[in-house]
Amino acid sequence: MQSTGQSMRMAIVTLLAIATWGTPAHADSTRESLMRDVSTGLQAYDRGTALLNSDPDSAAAAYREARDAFQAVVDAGVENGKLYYNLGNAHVRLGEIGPGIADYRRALKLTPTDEQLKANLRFARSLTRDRIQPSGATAALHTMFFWHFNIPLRQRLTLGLIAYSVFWLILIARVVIWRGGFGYAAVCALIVVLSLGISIGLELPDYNRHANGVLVADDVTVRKGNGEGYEPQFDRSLNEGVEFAVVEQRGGWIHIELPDGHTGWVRDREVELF
Amino acid sequence: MNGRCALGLTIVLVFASAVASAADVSFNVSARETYVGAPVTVEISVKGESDVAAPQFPTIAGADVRYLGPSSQSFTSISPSGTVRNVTTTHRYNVIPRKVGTLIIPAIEVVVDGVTYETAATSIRVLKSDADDLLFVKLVGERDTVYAGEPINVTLEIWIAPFRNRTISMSAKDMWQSIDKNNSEWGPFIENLQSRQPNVQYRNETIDVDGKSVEYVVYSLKRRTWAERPGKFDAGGVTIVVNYPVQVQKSRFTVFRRYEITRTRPVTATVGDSSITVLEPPTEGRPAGYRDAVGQFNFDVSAAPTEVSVGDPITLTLTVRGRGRFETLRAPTLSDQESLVENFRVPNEELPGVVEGNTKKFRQTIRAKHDAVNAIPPIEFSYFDPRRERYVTQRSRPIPITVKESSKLSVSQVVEGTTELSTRKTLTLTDRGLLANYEDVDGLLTSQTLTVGWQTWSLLGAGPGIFLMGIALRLRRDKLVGDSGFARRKAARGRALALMTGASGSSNGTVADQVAAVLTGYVADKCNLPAGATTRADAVRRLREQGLAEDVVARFDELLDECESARYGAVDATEGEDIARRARACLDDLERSKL
Repeated sequence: MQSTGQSMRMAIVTLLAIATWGTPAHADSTRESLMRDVSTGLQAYDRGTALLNSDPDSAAAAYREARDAFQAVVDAGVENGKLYYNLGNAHVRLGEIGPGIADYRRALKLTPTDEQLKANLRFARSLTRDRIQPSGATAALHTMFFWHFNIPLRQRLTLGLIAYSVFWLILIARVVIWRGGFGYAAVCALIVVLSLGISIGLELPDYNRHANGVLVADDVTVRKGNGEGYEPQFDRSLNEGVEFAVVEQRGGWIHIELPDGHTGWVRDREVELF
Repeated sequence: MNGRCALGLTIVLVFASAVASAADVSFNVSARETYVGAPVTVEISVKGESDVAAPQFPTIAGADVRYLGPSSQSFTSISPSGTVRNVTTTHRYNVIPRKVGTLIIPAIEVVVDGVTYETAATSIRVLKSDADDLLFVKLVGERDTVYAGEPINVTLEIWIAPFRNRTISMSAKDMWQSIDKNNSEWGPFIENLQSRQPNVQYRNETIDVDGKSVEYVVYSLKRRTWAERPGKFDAGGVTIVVNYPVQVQKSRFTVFRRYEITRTRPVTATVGDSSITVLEPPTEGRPAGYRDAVGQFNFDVSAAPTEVSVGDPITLTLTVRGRGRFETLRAPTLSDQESLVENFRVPNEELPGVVEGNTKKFRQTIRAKHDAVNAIPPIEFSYFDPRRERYVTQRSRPIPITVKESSKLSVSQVVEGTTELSTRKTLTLTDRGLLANYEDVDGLLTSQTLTVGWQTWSLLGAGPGIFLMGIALRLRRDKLVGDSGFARRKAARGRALALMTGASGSSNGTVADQVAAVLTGYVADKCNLPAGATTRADAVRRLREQGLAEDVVARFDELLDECESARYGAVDATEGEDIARRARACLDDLERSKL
């Protein structure tokens, strides 16, 4: 019996060690170069802000430098919410509302609880000419399944694994040590596991797919099909900054679904996906 | 000219714009002949795909026009060419003639979808109502003179000669029902009719008319109202319309009414010049601050806060109590009060007041101009008292205040009165503009990419795996505890091998004894037989019962036989070792045979 208890303790320690496993660090070889790019971007952005009122042209040039520097870091493979936030700021300062919103949305995917990010996204959205309100059902879903929409996928995965480990540890302990007890704790852990597991399962397939997008051009005609020969879907064209979900991609056309539930097709060169 | 006759006379006079769209606009008049005061209903119907705004009805000399409102009907027709929704909007007007003669309803323009249609002019003959001896109305006041703005109790008296013939005499209640309430103009007396039990009293009067004694029912509607303008009292053009019975017959179908009216004609009467004269308050002795207040009032002023800095707002509350018309009562003009303006910044604006019963309160914010101010001076309020027929000016009591110097306000701010430091207690976030960048370089370069690697899958598999192992452990442990035979079986080989090792070191005769004991003991453990009491024959029989191969059983039996022989004969060390080796091989055979 003593040997059984020792093996259980070792198993628990092992599980906890795996559950708290961290993410791989970014490759050190390019880190110095990336740090230089980030510093350049931050300095250029500050310079642009200082010149904004006195010399708008120079300010715009500085913002462009900042945008390109941040973009270089992103292109090097760094996925970071704050980095996307800074890049979005540079875009918005340059009047590129569509790309700005796209970057804010990318950041939101990684850091959905960042209030500073949400505030700037709200401001960027306020600059758009078309305000398409989400349907009531969408808002209700966001409230009901808050964990799905408000907790980053990484955190959901970590929490889910911890709950999963706790669930199995309780079951194992019930079988080997306690012979019953902690049943409610196991049920609670199982509910957490299922909630987070379903949420992760729904999102994981789309994680590396461009499931959403934003218009980056003005006067975009949304058509009924994937071709210029199709009639316009709406009585007016849409402008930069309109966000949508991607339903399908076909050739150079993208089937989009707007927040109010309307759908249509737009050219891929008029959008930025994220 | 009862209702049915009027309906029968209803004709479609004009189909306007006959060429363009004959059925789109129609114009109907309920009668071509009427009496003075008896309304004629005009209907303009427009048929189209949507509602149409009411056309502008022209002014008609000698008649009043009242818009009754629109009504609309819509229906949807489905045909092979598609679904069509049709809406017919009808605008109804009452035209009430006020004089005898021919009444001309001029052409009316109707705009439908940007196209203007025009009806043709229509003439209506207006007859005298002959109401002189059947109906008249008059206004009676509690006194003959009243001041403008002063309340007065007035009574509207409606005199109606009740219908009578040889067999039927209509009651006062029935005659009241003959009054056309909807088409009559009631002025302020309309409120008497709006309660469930109309506030109306009646009495019978007999007066002499043209030498004849005529009996009337007099309906009295009493009302407290306000004299508005100097001159003759105007009750708002009270006109009463009565559908006076012309033909009445005994009822044949109902048990509750003795008769039924089969024909009526409209009879109207209008209140003439009133005997009440409305006087204007005298100009002599009128105070400069008088603002048309008439009645008896008390005036009071309060202030808060009373300890302020220069420029801080002080709220003055002006309270007027008493008897008078509070709805129109205006506050004194504070910016005209010289003693107040001297030391305070006072906005020049009309104050909206709040009426609560016999009280009206006005509020205004003033600001001290300098710290030398130590009181809010008396404020004057003037009114005209109609009972005493003179003006009265009331002054509030001075209100002591403490004003401190303000170091935060510039002179211009005080003068302009634009700063409200004491009222700005909360900050409001603005939505405009971007928030700053993140500048933590390490934080910006930390990759947040999600990867699902072998660690995750290991963790996912480890839980169920360990759980299954735990179940297996538990089952084995339970078996060991609950089944002693199982424990002996599992431990049989180990115990036999251990005893065999001990036997190898003994003398030769002892070796044979111990090997025999080990082999029979092994069988006893495996088959859960009593330990130490199992003989060679028992062991062999049990092996055969277990279905072991005969050669294995034979080797086992032979080995035990040799052991018995060795116990009584000379056995050297080599033979002893051989017996031990063969015994181990025999144990292996038995183990492989799944004993």
